[in-house]
Amino acid sequence: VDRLGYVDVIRNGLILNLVLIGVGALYLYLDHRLPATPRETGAGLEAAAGP
Amino acid sequence: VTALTSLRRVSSLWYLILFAVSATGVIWQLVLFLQGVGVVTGAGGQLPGHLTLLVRFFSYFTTEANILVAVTSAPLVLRPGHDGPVWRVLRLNALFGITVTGVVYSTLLRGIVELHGAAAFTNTLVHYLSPLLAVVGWLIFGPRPRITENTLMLSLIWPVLYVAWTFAHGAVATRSSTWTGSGMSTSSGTASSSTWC
Repeated sequence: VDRLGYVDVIRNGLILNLVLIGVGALYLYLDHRLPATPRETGAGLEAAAGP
Repeated sequence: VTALTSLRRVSSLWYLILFAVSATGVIWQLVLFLQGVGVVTGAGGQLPGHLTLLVRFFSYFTTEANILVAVTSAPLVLRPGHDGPVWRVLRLNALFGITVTGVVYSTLLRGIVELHGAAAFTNTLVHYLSPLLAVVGWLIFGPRPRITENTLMLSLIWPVLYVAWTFAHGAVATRSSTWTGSGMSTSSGTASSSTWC
C-alpha cells in the first residue's frame, strides 16, 4: 500500500528524467545538424565554417 | 559583415527580451507566491511560513528552468557567440528544461488551476513566452555548435539532483502537510492532481 504516493513520485521522476535525456539528445543532434552560427574573432564577426 | 553585425544586434535584442521575460516572470511569481497567490494550502486553508514558501517556489521545475534561461541568456546579450564549458552545460539544461516546461504545461497542466490578473500574466511569461523565445532564439541565433556528448552527460546532473531533491522534499512535505496529494487545494483554486511544475 503506497499511501504517501512514493510510487507516483518515483515514476514521475523517472519519466521526467527519461524525457529530459531524450530532449537533450535531440538538442545534441540538432546542434550538429543545423548550420553553425557566425563566430566572433578579434577583428569582428565572420561566417563560421560548416560543421 | 554588415549583415552579420545586424544579426548580432537582433540576437542581442532577442536575448535581452528573453532575459527580461524569464527574470521578470520568476521574480514576479516569487512576490505573488509569498503573498499566497496560487499557494497550495493545508486542509485548514492556512498559508505555510515564508521559508516553506521559498523552498517550495525554488523546487518548482518551471522556476529552475526559467532561472537557467535567464542566467544563460544574459551573456548572450553582450556576446552573441558566448561560450564556456560551464555555460555550455547550463545552456543545454536551460534549453531542455524550458522545452519540457512549455510542452508539459501546455499539454498536461494548463487547466489545473484557473489564474487571473498578475498571476495569469506571470504564468504566460514563464510557461509560454519564455519557452517559445528560448527555443526559437536557439534555432535562429544559436550560438551553435555548443553541445557535445560530454556536455549532454554533464547536463544530466541537474535533472538527477532535481529528482533526488523532489523525492526528499516530497517525503518531508507529505508528512507535514497535504500539498503533494491528489485533489489538493490552493489559495486561488483547486488542483486536480499532484503538481511539481
